[in-house]
Amino acid sequence: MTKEFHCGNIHWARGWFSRVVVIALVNYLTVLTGLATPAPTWSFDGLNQGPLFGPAIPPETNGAVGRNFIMTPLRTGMLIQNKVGNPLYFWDQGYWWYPPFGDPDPNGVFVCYLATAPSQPVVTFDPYTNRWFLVMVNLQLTAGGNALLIAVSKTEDPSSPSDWFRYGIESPYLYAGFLDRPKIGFNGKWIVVQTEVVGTDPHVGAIFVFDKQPLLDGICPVGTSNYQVIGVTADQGAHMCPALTYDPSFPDEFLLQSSKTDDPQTMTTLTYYRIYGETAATAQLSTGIQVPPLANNSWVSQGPAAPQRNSNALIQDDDDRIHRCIYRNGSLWAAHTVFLPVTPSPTHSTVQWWQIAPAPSAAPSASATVVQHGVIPSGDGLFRSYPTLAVNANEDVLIGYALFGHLIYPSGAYSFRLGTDAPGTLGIQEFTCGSGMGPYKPTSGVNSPYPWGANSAAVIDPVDDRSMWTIQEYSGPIVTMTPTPVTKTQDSSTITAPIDTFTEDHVGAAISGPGIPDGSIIGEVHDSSSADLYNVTTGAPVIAAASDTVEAIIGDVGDAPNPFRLWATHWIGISSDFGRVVAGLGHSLGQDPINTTALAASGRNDYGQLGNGSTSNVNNPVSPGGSTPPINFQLHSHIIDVAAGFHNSLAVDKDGAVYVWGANDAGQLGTGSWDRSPHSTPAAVPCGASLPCVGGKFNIFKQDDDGQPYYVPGSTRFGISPTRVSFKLNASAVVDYAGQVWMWGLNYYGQLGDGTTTPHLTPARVRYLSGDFFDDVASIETAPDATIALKNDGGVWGWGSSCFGILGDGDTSCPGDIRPNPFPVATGPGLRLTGVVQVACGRASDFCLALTQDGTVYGWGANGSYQLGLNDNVDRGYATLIPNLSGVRRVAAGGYHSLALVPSENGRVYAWGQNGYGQCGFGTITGLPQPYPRPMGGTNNSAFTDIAAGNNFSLMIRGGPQEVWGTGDNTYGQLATGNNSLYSLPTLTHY
Amino acid sequence: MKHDSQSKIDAMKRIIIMTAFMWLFTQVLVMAQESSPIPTMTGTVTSFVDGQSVNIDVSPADHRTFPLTRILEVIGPDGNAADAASVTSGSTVTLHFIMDYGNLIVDRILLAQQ
Repeated sequence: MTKEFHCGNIHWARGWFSRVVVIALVNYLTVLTGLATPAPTWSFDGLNQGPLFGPAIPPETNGAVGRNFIMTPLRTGMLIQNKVGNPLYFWDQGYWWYPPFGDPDPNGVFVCYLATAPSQPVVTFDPYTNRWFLVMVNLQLTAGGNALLIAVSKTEDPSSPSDWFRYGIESPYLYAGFLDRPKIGFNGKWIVVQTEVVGTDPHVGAIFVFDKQPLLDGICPVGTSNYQVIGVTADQGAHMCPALTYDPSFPDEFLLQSSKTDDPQTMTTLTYYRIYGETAATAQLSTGIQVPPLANNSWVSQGPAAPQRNSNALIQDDDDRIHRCIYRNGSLWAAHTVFLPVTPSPTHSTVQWWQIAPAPSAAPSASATVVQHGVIPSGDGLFRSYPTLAVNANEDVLIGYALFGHLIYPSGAYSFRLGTDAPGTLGIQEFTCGSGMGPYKPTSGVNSPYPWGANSAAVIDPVDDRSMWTIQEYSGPIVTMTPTPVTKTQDSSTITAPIDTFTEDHVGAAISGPGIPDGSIIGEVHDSSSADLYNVTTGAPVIAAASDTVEAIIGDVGDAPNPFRLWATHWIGISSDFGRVVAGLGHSLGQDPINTTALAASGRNDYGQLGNGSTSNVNNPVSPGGSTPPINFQLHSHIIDVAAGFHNSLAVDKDGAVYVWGANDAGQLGTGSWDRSPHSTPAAVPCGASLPCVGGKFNIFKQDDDGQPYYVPGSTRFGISPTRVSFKLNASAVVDYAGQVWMWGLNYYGQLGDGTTTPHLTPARVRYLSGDFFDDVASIETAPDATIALKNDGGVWGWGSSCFGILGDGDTSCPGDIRPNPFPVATGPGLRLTGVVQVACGRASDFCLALTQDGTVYGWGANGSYQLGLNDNVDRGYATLIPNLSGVRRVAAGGYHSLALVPSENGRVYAWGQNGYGQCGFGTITGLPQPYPRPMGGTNNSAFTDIAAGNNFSLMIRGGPQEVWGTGDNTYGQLATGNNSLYSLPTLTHY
Repeated sequence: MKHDSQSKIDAMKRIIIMTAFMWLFTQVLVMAQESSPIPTMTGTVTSFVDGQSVNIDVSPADHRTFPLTRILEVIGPDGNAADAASVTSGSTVTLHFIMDYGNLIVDRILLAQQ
């Protein structure tokens, strides 16, 4: 992968930036803010609570990722999805485990246990056998009831119960306690499960060691010597976590433990154990080996419950047990919840993570070494808990966890570190991977603090052993009608506890009584003596006792009898390719996967669009903001998204600041004025009356339930919809945290979407025809005459001119329909385009491509150059399926050509449309457009992981050791090849 | 019988040879199509309206008019982007075309050293 080239006086010796520069930046980052977290590549819900799936509280969040499937087994049921989130199968847990209904096994392989109350699933994917391992406990507390349930998939396909061997091991602790909270590990020869034995006082534990191969072969271990239960005393501890061993030749199995018991303790160290031996029957547990304590490091194992916004109810936030442990490259890795500060007493939870080098032997005198250790910075009012950790082949680390606080609804989040980062450092920037949708309130009968998560999962993608995923719980939608409008009131004349909160969940009958205003509607009464919670559904007045806390609301509250807020789970996947490239008219920008304060740029520069302080073209990458890359980028800010326009570049940093450089002839800089001068230095779009700002940064507000904006704490500034930017010829677009779209620039066709055709030199928000702000937007694309938005629900909307059919409303005339407000893109009259996960729109011609969840691609708009791939040059007024193209993960739209990336064909790129500069990469430069998708040529059309299309050129990122390849027009040096030669086949660039 | 068999063999040979020729002919057509160079044309500008059309004299007797793409790129003699105002009557230019809706449209004008 190594390539060497020169840029200025710096010798670059890596696919992106030199190691020397990286080291310099790491030091710099250590001092300031740490490493930014890469944005998610995949983001979609897992299994959510619903009327069909039962009210299991907590959901016992867990999941795993295989080569082609994602499995989310929760207490309620199991969801099988493909790797872009498309649901394939759902199974009720009881159904899945109950043979008479779930599996009269066609292969004659028996199920050796009849589970009746399966619970607490933990699943993992073994990349060495390509099998899934699922463990649960059967919680029926009767003789023959409590048991360990373990299932092994027969192949890589986990789709249905008949695809699994399912086994049950009756608890050896019947009448003493029951097996609870299992954790799973494996090495090359064993599957190891540890459980607590709840009911014993103090708790003891049990370790089940199974020979792996018999389980893979469908041989029930009961009655054989293929397994052993190793009892664990209370003194040894009940919370050991067996390791997922990513070394098939390693003979032993490690277990790592923080505090041993459920009692609150002040902790200073961890302990690990080791199982060794030839077979499961002869396996032995070593003595515990204490990891040396670190100076000035201690924590408390349990602490206060977590708060949530707009509610007095609290959330349970874990203890310091380890839910998932990794053994890889000679090290044990784990993360766990800790409560800080130790003195005088803990006020909050946060996440601590470890890399430990265990001793080479299991001898009692063995010692271990802490390789590195870190604590996610806290003290920002947020609680972090239920973490799990994944470590990939590069020793990059993903930590997923729950996020709580007074100012946010219960959410999931993740942080990240690269293997090349300085030891002990972890990006402090968090991404929210499931933004809470309201204050969490489970069904009646569950009291505060409400149970949460009980687990989570961070996992490695076995396909490349580099991409990583995490699934987290978040507070989901309310289940029934919500009251409108609601108004908070304060009154306590006869009520001792103040009325200081309300939630939209709380509805009920009118209340009257001393001190309660006329017209009040009481939702709930929290009986202070019993903490019982009463829902008022009969309409009869209820008088609160003086000692009760009353949550009251005034107004029309609808008729929901018993509303509650569902939980939901959300998957985030992070590609192994953390950098990206974008392509404009004649220039390109590269986002460094390691140094996120830097952008590299190459190509046309007459408007200063490279941002390097010059207006000279460049054919080797330079960094905007200075001639000495990359230190001089303005504010040293971590860039999370970037766009290349015609003569502009635009970037947004982790704090929400938007930087623009290049042309300003249509007010693209957002400064409130326009001019024809080049602007070759990145400058933040300034705050102004029309642009809410915090600390000089871009809008990072959300709307609360009353429609009022509130500041989102910095650590959660980007959530389920990472901020996206886009740029067109003469307008700029930004999606903010709340999923709303801000645009500025020319507006002659209403392409700014604010309902007018008046140009805006400062950002204005896009609105529905009703006047409400257009929201829930995931990403934004701009075409010459229109703007196209992808919403989180998979729908596509457009506004501006319908010229050539770009709005997908059936009209292909020019300027055609003028729609200054968003309008849904359709596949036919009255048929909305749905299920879309990515949209790409043309730069020089009005066409768009939409990638759907199932990997197919739709195209609409201008088609004179066959850029829609439909084997004709007829414009399409409706989104039209492109035939013979499937398995696509990314699409890109150039000036008059299109690209599609197909991972299932080993990362091959297809191209079609205009090829007059070799941009299709076929090895030819021809005036005849390619009418349908065709693979690029040469020997290098493989292993690509991302694509970008400029006006007449194409760029592709190759994964693993990252490389950027390009083909097509290179007149200005936009391919960054160090010359200005055109290329008609994929060629390695200097990015 | 032997004669009939030989006839069948000869017929098979003819079919194989014809098939091979047809395949070869198809490949030549494909190669010809794929190697069709993007057309360019050099001449002297007689009129130029940005956003609309350009007229050039290829020779004293050969006057041509072409529409322009919406996004026209003008490249100066130094290889850098130039302003459209640089294209004036009398300029020697090379036009670069794309095929859009079956028509040749100028997407790039390269200015020669004047």
